[in-house]
Amino acid sequence: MNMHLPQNEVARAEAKEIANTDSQYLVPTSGKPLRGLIQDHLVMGVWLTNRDTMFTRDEYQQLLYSCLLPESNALFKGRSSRIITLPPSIMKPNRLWTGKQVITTILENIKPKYFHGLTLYSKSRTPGDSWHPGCEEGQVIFHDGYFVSGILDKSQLGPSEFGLIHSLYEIYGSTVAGSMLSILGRLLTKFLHMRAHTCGMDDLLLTPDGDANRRSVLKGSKRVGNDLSAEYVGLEKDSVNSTELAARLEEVLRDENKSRTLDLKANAQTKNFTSQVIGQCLPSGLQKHFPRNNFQAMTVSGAKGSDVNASQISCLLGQQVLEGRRVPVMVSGKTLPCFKPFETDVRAGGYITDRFLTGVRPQEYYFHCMAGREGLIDTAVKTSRSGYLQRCLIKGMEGIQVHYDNTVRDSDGSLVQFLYGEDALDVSKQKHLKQFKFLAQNINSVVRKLVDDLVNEDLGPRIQRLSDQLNLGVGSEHMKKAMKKYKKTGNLVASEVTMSLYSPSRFLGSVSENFALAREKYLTEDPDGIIVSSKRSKHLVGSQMSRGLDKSEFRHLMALKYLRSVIEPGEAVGIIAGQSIGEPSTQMTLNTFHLAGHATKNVTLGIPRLREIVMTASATLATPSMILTLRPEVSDRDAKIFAKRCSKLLLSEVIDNISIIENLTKTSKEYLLRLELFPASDYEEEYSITKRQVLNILKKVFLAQLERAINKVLNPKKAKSKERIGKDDAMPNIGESSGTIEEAPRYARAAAADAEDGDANSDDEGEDDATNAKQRSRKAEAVSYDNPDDDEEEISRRAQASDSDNEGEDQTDEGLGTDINMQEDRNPIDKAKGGKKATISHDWISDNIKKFEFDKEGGQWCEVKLQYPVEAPKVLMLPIVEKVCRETVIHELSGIGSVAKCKLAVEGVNFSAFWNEQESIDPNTLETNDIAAFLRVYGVEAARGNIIKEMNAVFGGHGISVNIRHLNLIADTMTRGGGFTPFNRQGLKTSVSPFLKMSFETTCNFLTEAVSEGDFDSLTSPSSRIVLGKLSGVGSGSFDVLVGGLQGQLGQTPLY
Amino acid sequence: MDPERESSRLWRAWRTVHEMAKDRGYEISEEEITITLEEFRHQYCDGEGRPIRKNLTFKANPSPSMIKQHAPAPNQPATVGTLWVEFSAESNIGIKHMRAFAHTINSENFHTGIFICSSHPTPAAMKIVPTVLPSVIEVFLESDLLVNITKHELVPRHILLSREEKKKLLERYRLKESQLPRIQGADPVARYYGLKRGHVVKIVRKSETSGRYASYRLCM
Repeated sequence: MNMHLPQNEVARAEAKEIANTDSQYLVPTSGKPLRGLIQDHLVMGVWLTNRDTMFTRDEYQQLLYSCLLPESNALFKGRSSRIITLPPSIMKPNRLWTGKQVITTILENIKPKYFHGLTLYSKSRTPGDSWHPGCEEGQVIFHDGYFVSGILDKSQLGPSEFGLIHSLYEIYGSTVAGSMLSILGRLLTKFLHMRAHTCGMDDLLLTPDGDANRRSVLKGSKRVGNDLSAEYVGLEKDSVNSTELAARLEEVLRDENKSRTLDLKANAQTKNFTSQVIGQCLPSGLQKHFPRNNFQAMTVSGAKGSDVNASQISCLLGQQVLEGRRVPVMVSGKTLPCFKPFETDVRAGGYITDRFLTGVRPQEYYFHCMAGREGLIDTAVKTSRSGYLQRCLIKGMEGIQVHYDNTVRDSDGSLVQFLYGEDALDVSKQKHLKQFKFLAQNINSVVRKLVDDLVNEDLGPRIQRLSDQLNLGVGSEHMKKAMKKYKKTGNLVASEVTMSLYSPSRFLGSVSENFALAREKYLTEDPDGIIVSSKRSKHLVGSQMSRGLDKSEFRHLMALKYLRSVIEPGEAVGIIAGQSIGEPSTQMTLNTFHLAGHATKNVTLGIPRLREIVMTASATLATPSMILTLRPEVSDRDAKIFAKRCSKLLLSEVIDNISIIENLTKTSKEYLLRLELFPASDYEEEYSITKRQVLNILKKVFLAQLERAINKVLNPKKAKSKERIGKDDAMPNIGESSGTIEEAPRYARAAAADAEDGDANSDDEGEDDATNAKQRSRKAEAVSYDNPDDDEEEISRRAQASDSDNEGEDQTDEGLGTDINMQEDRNPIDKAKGGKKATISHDWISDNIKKFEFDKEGGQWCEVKLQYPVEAPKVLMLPIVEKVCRETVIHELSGIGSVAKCKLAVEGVNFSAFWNEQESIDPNTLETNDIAAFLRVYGVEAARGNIIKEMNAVFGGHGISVNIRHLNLIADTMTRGGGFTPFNRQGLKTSVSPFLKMSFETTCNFLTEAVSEGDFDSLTSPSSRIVLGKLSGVGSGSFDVLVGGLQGQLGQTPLY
Repeated sequence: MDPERESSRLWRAWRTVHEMAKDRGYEISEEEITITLEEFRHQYCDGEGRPIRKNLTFKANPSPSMIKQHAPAPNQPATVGTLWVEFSAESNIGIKHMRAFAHTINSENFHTGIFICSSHPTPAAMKIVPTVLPSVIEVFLESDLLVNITKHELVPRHILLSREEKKKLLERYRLKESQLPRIQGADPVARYYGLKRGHVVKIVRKSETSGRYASYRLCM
């Protein structure tokens, strides 16, 4: 236990009001409840509230006494300390009280004075059908404090939205909700003591029928692996030649892409079996059924465990996943030594049909451990990454808070948003805002809480005062007109936005348009029949409330509810935004994944993608892509042609076979090169190109590239020394010993950057050693910072890696799909076969090319004769030719890689290329994940929108929802300078507070900079204030006592 | 480039320029914006179907509302005037062409000149741009005008504020000019609207939380 001894009034107040657990019921980032009952209490909640539970008078009073009495201090304020009880629901033969009546009694006792009972319509987590078909116990109904039906489980008692506790919090306030939790905790503990809960083997066993079903389904999974593999490699699945299958599978497994696709297919198949087994066994195959089955009682009520746990125990473990794939295959072709090489059974791929109940075989156990281990490693590795991400975000936004005019500003007073979250609402207060049904049903309690009067029975005077203070009518009149105009014309700028004219915290009725629309919709539809129609009232709440709620009253009250939900000045929204990104990012698992079915579309996701957007704001993405919307009138055929036209096509893709004949004469070495193309009709159709195009490429591009490549091999020294001169000899480093170790990688990096059209930056890096040295020294200081700053480097490194990856892959897979003969004595090619030939004179290309022939008629082959002096070194010509073929591009849109058909997702980004294709696509809906490109082409507001969209996509891909207000704030902060500013050291440079910068990273650099420039710190940012031991200026620290007579100081502090 | 393709590109650029002039507040007739490709080819192409860029030049006068919007500070010269748009047929824009364009601007006393070229002018040519002050020369590439970027679904509405409105805004929020969020002068949308340093744009966008939301940015 800890004891806190607050040392001054501020600390005392903070402990009483802020650190008070009752006030911490909601999570600030999402507004969802944080506190709730768990485990045993939830199981008991089910048992207490089900229909079978009856109590005698003794038991009923014992339960109430034990749970209500400890709370008597808080409860019985202002009334006698007698516990109110209910009459029993059964009189004869015995007086009996139901479990639901216990809850009703508690509600009656905790209800504050002048408040009405709770009315709530909600759902239990336990489906009604699990009691008996057609049972209405799934519906939780409270009517004016009376518990009518339903089961209290996790969705009502646990930390869940719109449950019992959350609803009490909404209408009675935090204290009552807090004591309700304590009371229920005590009640359910007491009940647990009376009744107990246990779980044994018989809760897990399947019936003989269920077991038989399970076994028969799993039998099918034995064959599926073989069938699938055979089908995948293109063999008939009934007559499989096992050696042939193994040979083909070997080829598949050696290829990253193909084996991944096979994995995906296998996973899709085994998933079927898993869900089939679970569907047949859980819960119908179990020996004991729901209310009596203690294990099911736990999973269904949400007390502990889930369906996954139940199925792992009673059915099967299912497919084990490692890095998004099946269990990897070793070089030997096995996943474990005990399996055959290239085993097709899904069992060898990590599909576990065993279950915990009856034991797991050693191989399965091993696979399960592999997957479990990966999970642990993943968590360990991720925490540091997401921690740093959160730190960067918070450093960048620590001073951002809400001010008295509802604007969101940084600590230097610069504006970020005009209204927080664009509707000025507090995330944690807006949860019930659109729950009109609940609000209307509990309107009496809601009104009392809204006008904040818990003392006087008659609310009249207070309401009158409020409506005077809040300019009743002004905001709502404008709102009505503005909405009408906007709706009529559909023009965004048809009318002024009400909230930007009238402050939502001072003008009743100045609400967001979305809210107003939803409110009007509820009023016109009136699905619950609560609204009474009457004349338009000029009053906030008229006297007729007792008769029923009329439209205009409801409108005003909801406006008041909105006003009360507006975020309070001083709220440190920047820090909250940082936390609401940082926290869920720890939950994100896989870094990348493939969109289902599209093995080709690969996008960065998870934390790496978040870093890309938020921390590096990089202009060069790891996986740039675009999404094009085809015009509806474009036919499928045209779409396909269009897609082909956009795709990058390499020469190697139309070549079937290459042969080279080497001939040594006295004076020269001659190479006769023959490229056999696929049939012209095939490639013309497949790639929508013509023979002419191929000829042109061969003639103009291929030959030149080949020539260059050969020369490079022939005179390697010459080529290299030339580059060296360019790179470092020309720049002698004085006093800088550029060690070879240091030099080599940098050299490679520059080259890689050059290769991809290099940006000016990396060029400088290669040449200017002075700046380099400076950078290096800076890096030396930065090493301790989890090297995040080297992101620029990382990008180029990544690019390089992917380059070499590609090359590696190319060699093994794509290749040329041929066996190439290097027979020196092959027969001269039968030239008679070819029709007309296109021969070009070699002179204009080079001396070495003696002949060029192309089969003009069939477009099927091409011959080149190369001649080199006899003293030239012997060259292996074939690899060179292959490489050149792979590098020669027949057509491409620059920057665009492959195009997935139909959906038209494009790898790469190039807006203007698609602006030329307006016949086929709609240019106004182009999407891309490249935010910097959007900034360049469509401006800062589009970039802002794209940041939000992309971040949403990252979280959405992992099934995590982040409140849009936080993403909005982040996007606004990043684009407030008109650019795309990252949350890192570079981005922080523009900050006006030197202490803030110093407390982030590279303290000395920022310190020297500040000193040499004579910078000063006005001590307004939280960091700089903490550095000097002052209270940070956000939240409860925004207040201070301003002593008169200090005119000068007063002038400096902005008083908004 | 084949003439058909060229004329359709030019037709798009022509429409975008007219939309741009209209969005800035110049008086542009509806027919000029909605002109179809056939009509355009008929009017502005020679016998071979090649567009004649010389014929594409046009001039536009500011509408009364635009003049009001750009009302200058007292004792200051007007901040709007006649717009002159010229398409250049040259593949390389050098000093010579730019000087000729600047000359037209000066001699005809145009306030704003939009010079549309098919490639970037040389850096030396760009140095001529500031010489015509207080008139303004804006250079656009034909390829950048193929699409009207403000029609993209992610680009919200930008509206230029008048001096009065700007003053009111700064007073309403008790802001110094420098405390507003910014938009770069080189931002594509800022270029589209011809924003100058110190201009404030109101940005009205659709908002997931609130329906409509108004924001402001200061042009840098």
